[in-house]
Amino acid sequence: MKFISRNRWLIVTLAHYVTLFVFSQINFYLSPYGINIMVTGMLLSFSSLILNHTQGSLSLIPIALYLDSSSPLPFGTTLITLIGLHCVAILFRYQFRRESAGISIAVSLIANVAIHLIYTLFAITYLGTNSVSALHIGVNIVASGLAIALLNTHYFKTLVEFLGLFGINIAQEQRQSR
Amino acid sequence: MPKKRLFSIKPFVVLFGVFAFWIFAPLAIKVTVKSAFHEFQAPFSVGASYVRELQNFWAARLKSKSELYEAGKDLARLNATYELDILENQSLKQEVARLEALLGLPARPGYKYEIARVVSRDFNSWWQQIEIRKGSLHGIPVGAPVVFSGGVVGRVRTVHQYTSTVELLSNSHLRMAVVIEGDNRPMSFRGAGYTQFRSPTGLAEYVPTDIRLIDPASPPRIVTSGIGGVFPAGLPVGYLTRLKPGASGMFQDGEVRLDTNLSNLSEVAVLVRLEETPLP
Amino acid sequence: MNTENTKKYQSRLWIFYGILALLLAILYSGLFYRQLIESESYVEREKIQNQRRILTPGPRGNLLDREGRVLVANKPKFSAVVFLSEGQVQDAFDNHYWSMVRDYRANGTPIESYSELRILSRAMVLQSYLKGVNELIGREEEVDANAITRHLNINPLLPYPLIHNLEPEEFAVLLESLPVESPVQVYVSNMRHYPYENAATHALGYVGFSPLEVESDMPGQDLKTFATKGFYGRNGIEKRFDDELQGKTGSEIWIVDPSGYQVESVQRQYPQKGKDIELSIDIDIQLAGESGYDLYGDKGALVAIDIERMEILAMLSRPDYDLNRTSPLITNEVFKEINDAKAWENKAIRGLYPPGSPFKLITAIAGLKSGKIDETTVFECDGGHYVGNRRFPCMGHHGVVDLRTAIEKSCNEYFYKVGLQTGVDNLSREAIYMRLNEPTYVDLPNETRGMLTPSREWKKARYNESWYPYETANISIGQGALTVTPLQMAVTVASISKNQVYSHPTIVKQTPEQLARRPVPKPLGLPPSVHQAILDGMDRVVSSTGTARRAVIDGVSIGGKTGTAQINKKDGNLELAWFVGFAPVEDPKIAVVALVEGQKLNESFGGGTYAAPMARYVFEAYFEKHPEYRDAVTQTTASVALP
Repeated sequence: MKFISRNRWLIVTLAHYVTLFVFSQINFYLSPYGINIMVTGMLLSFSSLILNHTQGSLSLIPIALYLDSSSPLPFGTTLITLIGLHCVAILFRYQFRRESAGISIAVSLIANVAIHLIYTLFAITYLGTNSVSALHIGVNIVASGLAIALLNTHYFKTLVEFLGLFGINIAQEQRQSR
Repeated sequence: MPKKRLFSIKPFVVLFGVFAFWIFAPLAIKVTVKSAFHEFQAPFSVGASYVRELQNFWAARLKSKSELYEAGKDLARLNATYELDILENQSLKQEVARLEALLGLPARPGYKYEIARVVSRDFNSWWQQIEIRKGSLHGIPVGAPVVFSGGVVGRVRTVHQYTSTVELLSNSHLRMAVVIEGDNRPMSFRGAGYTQFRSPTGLAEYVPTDIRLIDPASPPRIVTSGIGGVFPAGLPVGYLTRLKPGASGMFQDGEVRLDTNLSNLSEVAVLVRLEETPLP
Repeated sequence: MNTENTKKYQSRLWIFYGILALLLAILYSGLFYRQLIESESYVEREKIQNQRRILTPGPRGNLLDREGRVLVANKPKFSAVVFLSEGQVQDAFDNHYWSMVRDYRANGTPIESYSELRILSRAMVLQSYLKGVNELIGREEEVDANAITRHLNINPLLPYPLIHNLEPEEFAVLLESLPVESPVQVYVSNMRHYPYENAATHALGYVGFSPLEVESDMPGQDLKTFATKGFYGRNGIEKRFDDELQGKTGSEIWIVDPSGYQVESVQRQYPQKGKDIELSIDIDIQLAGESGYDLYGDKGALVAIDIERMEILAMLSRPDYDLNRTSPLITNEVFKEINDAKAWENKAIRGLYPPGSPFKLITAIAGLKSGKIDETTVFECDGGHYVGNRRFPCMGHHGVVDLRTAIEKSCNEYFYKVGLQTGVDNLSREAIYMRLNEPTYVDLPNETRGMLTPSREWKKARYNESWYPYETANISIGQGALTVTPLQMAVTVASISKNQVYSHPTIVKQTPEQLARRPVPKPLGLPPSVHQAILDGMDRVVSSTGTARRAVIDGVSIGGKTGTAQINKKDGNLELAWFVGFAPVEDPKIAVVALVEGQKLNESFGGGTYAAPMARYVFEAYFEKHPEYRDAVTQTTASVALP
């Protein structure tokens, strides 16, 4: 149990991967409608708000590398993006009640928009302006935002409970840390 | 107090480490890590594609016999048409070969078709690519052209053992030499993303100034030129829908409407060049 | 004491504080002035230092024939270029340079010149790019280190061309094979293209490189500017209509780094193509003339004119050259070749020749208008005529001839007698009335002004000598000091055919408004019956028994006059073969003049043998396109013959 508690990031990474996998399947069916749902912001939000800095970083690195492995952008782009945003979230997380559902949704949404913007900048730099359409990005941000708004609370709750199965009491740890 | 300070520095240390990795890690390591992560998750994607096929199979099994009978009849009709087309095609091919021999033209490259199922579609706001269920084990080379019944799909960008990533026509990094059907002046085509939300688009450059869009209902069709060495000639690319003066003043730039089915692909064919005709 | 001292010094300190405050005030007011008041000028200065402007010439307009077919167009010139401003190229330059420096130092080799080493390293980097391109398209090109340095010194913002003039196949291969982000790319510029090669060479003209003209309304006037060269017309229509044909220059403003390389494009104005000009030339007729000339002549000129519109349908001058060889630039080798062949000159508007027998028509008109002869006047031809004690020969013994027969047989003696009776004053007055002493004012550059209609006054002024009757006899048959251009003769024959005096032919297709504004032709002044006599004579020339029987075509009545003129050279005479004609005789539509220069001294060179058949090609092409102008008789016959 101590091992699992010390390496809880493995469980979180697995959960993140499964979520991404499920959404890749959903996106497969949404592609004819020109919609792509990206929930990376939600995953980042969980790792940054619920886990400590090290565990959060460790849980995000494999996910970022997985996303990078199939991206045409230079390898490491997502890694830098996610770790950078994770750092920002870590710095600011003591300023608000991070266990609140509303706060976690807000952080997920903001992180998701930030990821969209950063990706857009990278795409403009490496893929050219031709490939970037503001309308398309806007629609995807809205669609992803809706998906996050619907799922965020459940995702957080399920994952916290799942961690609880391994004796990891997140709520208690958060109270103690304060 | 010192502990607190250390805690607040830690995120930056990690960020710095990541930056250092990004900048200083040798290319070989980057390539290995990238490939390892891709290969690691490939079985899951491939498995999901098999599940999807199973799902389609059961969906077909649930259809009524009369529906299946009707579908079979339609297929038989289509098959008969295709048989005729094949015969006609064969005689045309022979005629073309005869004329080419007569004119002493160099032999055109031969291709074999490697049919592959689509494993995943990655169509986001910045790039469009698909993962296909064939890789280096099936002899898929990097850069090979990929086609479907509606024309060109794109080019193979990376090849893994069991899967390959295909860059779609709508990507701005994909460029090819095209011609307007019936015209032999080569132009450049580049993907332009999903500028119209649901419709993939492209950009045609070096469009001769005498090309006009007379009837919007039947815009000129753009096909591969066959002289660029990668794509065989005559594969449909899209339709020229809008023209504007080009930067050099010598040509026009055109907007190309691509086939909307590009977003809905479930099976494609990779054109693998036969041994004697290597890629340029 | 201490307090006192402090007080004492405190007052001095105040002075010091005051000075300090004043200095600070000066300093801050200076800063304030620079930052706030002069900020605009600093921004402007920064802009000038950080921004560069690149000018791209707009493509020239096309030249079209009267049916809209392209005679001169722009052909894209595809090149493989390397964008030197790209970061990776800069890095490659630096890395290669330092690696060479390290190697030299490691080997203990002294570096004589660091700047030369840099030049060499640049060349090696570009050669590596070129190697990749060579492999793709199967070439074996090499870079020129000096050219790279020149390029970097003059135009560092413009891409450096690795390979010029790519074939379409090579262009296509590079498009598909070069990555989009590669610093090596396909680049397009333009060059003039002449699809009909040698046709109408001199009329169309050619272009040369020129610095770009910058319009005052273009942005970035104060910026350092780099420009690719433009083209300007150097001859022919390209020169005459250069202003219309010139495209509008495009500009692009770039922010550059301290080394002068591009960072970001901030403003762009696309170049625009110049105006297309529709010429009066009919390429079918032009090509027919060219074919005729290929068969019957080497040197000379041919002109065809639409009489009613005074538009030039065809104009050629030989020797000529393939205009494509002048594009994009004339190489020394090509220049020398054209120069040696003396092919630069447009003989149709610059060649000065004695008109020979065709001038007899003007002699006749002068005689008729002066009342010295009428259409029934006859003279006897016994093979020659004495003026003083000098005998002027005729080519035959024509017996008693009237005007019609004299024109038909080109009887010299008849026209000596007409000329002598009419007098030089009337002759030259008539030639001047028909504008033979002035240019035609065709809209082509460099038309000669050296044409000469001799007169008593001219001779007195020029040589301070009296006029002699033998000179009148000479002029009567188009010899002597008289010189004309083939285009003048074409306008003259058009004038005679219509009993009017035309001028100002044009080579640009006229709009109805332009036609309405054309100068009204003067009347030639011959009564219709008299005019008809001249036409009859000319009609007989182009008949089965006439001197221009080789110009005869079925179903069209052609009026013409052949001629053989002599040019006195040091060791003998050089003959010129003339044919002037028009058709149909009943309602003239087209006038044709063909002139062929003899190649050898004292060689007989008849207009009927050489010039007339050339004209036949032109008439045939014209009437094939305009069957409605063929003779009514033929048309009726044809319509009867048809079921």
